[in-house]
Amino acid sequence: MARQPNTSPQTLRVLRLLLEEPTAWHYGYEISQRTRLSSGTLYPILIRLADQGWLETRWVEPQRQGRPARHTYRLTQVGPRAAAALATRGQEEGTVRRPGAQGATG
Amino acid sequence: MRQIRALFDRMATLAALRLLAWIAQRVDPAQQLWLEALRAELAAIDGGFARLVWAVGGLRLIWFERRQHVVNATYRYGPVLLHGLEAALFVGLTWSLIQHYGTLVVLLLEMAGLDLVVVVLVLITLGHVMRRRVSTRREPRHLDPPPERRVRPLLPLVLSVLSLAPLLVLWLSAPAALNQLLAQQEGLATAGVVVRSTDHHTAEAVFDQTGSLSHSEVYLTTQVKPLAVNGVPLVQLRQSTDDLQTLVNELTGIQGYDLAGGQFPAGTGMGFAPEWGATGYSDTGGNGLPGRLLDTHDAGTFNVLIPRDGYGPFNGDTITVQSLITGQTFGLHVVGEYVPDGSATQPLFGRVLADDSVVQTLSFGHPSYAYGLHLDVNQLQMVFERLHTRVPTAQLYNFLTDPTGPDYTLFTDPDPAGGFLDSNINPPPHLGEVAIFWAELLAMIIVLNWGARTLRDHSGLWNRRKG
Repeated sequence: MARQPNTSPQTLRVLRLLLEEPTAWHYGYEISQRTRLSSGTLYPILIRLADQGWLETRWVEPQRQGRPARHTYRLTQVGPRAAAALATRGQEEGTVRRPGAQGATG
Repeated sequence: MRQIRALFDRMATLAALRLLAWIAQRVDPAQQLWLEALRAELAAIDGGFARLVWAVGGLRLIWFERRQHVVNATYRYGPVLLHGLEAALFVGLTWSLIQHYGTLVVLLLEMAGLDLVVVVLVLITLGHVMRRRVSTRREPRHLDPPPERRVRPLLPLVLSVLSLAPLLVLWLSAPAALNQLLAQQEGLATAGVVVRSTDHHTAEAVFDQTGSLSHSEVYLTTQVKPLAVNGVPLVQLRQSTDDLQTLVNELTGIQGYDLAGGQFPAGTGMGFAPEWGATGYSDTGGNGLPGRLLDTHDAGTFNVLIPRDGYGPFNGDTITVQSLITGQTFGLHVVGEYVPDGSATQPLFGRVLADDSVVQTLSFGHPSYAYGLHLDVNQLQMVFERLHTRVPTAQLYNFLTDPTGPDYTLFTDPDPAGGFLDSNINPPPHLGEVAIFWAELLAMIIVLNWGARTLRDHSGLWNRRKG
């Protein structure tokens, strides 16, 4: 059975979070905390979204000296429209609803 | 307590760093950036155990990358491997059948089958070309929607591999199945054995111990010396020595049937047909009377059937023969001529066909016992060797060495040089059965391939794009 890309519940959670503030940059750990996804789940999703051109990445210098530079993410210009359509459809079809997962999308 | 917790925290942090360093050595270079990103987040995480849990997620990057390699390699080489295995099994099966049967029939059928395969391949290629044209025309309309991602890619692969199993089973079981098919042919004997009357119990004991023997037929036979036809010596009937020898050979062996018990010469393949009935076959050019088959009324008489050669003796003639045991002479009355055409459905150990009582009389109560054996050709040599050990005087015939030869059933010619122990067994061509078997095999291969291809296309196994 064929399936549209980026429609897994985990990916939709990430997309919805990024859509909340489309222009803002997000840290990986922050996304992980807010979507309640482990790093092992989150980073393959980020890699795939970046490969598909939906995600923009950049390194930012640390606010405190001695800390490493951190990788940040936000949706590209083409990303929000498609992501919004997917996220909306996912909510309508209920494919993303899982016990305990709704609260994290906030 | 707080110190212990701090100690564990530090240990967990250290373990997290070590783990990430270990992952960094194994992750694909293309994913190093993402591993760095993951590692950079460690500084923002509070608690050693949380850091360790975060670092454990990095393992996924190794699996993620390697899984791509495995899947891509599977996509690339999977079809080639599967088709290679199928081709190898098909060739192996064919080769084993050729080795086993050594008949041109299999080769001809295979050529026909290959033609079919070529046609199927051409159709598949045409289908691909047409599909590609259609997809090329539709391409501009499909720019907006993102490419489809397929799921469950390994299921059809597993099914494809499993689909090879029936081929393998066929390869292993086909020869045995064909042998069984051949052995069960009604009236068609694989081999013949002729033993003296004193040995027939021993021979039958050997047959009883032969599991591959589906059934056997027994006939009483004996040899006589033909002297004259209608009182005219044979030497006066045939001018040349060769012609005379041919006639002697035809009239020397007598095969008996239990006519009173319902055992009759089978008309099929012998120039008799049921519709001839009691009037029999008549093509004697005015030299004889219409012949007929033997029936129960011939039991206890000296009525016989003889092979027709067009030069006599004919129906209605009387053949004078001499017993080789007692030296007495008897007159055999010809009531019918049959035409041996090499496809007789019963073995002929003597060409003059008569009632058992004739054989008993001519052999002075010591006839030979002739057996038409229906057995697995693979067991033929073993049975022959065992029989030869138990009954050294047994005459053994392999009816499969030359099924169309004119002398293969000749009673007086055991023809050991022709090879009753010849391992190059060549069964008679049963075109119908072999053709059906081969067609089924080809159909199975085609259907399996079609099924596997459909599954692959449905799941996008071979066309799944990376990422």
